[in-house]
Amino acid sequence: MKNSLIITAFFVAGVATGIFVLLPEFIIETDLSSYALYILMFFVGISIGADKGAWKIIKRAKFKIVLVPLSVIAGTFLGVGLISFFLPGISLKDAITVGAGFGYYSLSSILITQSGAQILGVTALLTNIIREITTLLFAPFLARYFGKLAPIASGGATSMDSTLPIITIAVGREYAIISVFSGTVLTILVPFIVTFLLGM
Amino acid sequence: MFKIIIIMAAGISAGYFLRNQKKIIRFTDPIITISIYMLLFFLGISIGTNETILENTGTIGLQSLCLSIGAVGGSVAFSYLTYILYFRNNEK
Repeated sequence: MKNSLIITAFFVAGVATGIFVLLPEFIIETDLSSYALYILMFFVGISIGADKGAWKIIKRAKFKIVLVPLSVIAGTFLGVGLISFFLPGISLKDAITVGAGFGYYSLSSILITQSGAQILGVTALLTNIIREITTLLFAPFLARYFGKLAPIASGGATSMDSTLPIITIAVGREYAIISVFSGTVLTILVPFIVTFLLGM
Repeated sequence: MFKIIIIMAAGISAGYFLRNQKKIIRFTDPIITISIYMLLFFLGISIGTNETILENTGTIGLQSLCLSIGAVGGSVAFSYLTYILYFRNNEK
């Protein structure tokens, strides 16, 4: 949560700079952020490759546990897909691309913005931040009425880090392992699925 | 955009081979954090200079709220089904 506040602060500072500071054209036009993105993706890759815990969890996974991130993917796509029919201006593909952030708002919004879809990038940022906040606020409620997988599903990719503490409190330590597994799988998949959808 | 997947795949293999080099791996998290901060700052700038977005913050916010309700609702519904079918009976 502390991290989300810092991230939001950087974002807001950027918006303010954009509005109030007259920036020299060359800063806006040179594509500094593409290079920053390449660096980011390379190091995200390194951190995944070097994460012994993640490999161990994935190797040990039984068939049943794989159903959890799969339900999150299928459920998210169906949910945002249905919503898109009621939102003028948001196509089915737009909605699914935004949904494919699974709460990982920083990376998904950056990838979408870089592809040229700036407005959709903002939508992805907000949608996925709201998803994280909803999970933080409602994890105990979801666990009580919709089963112990519900807060894990709601957390999406964040169920391995920022929402893990509240999820653990809501569902217990046994399910916390499932939470880490599902969050790890989704975190790894986000850049692949989002990039794939943008390239379609 | 597929360039990004290739770069990330290169990173994953590099990370896998370097996984025991703690001195190098230690630097990945701060680098990731700093580049995310930078990119979101840039993202902010591009929004702050984009009239269309600034004029439509209300609409974008409302759309985002609806989409997140869909995302949470859909995934909770599917996970509830998975829970009832595969998980509940195994609890002690």
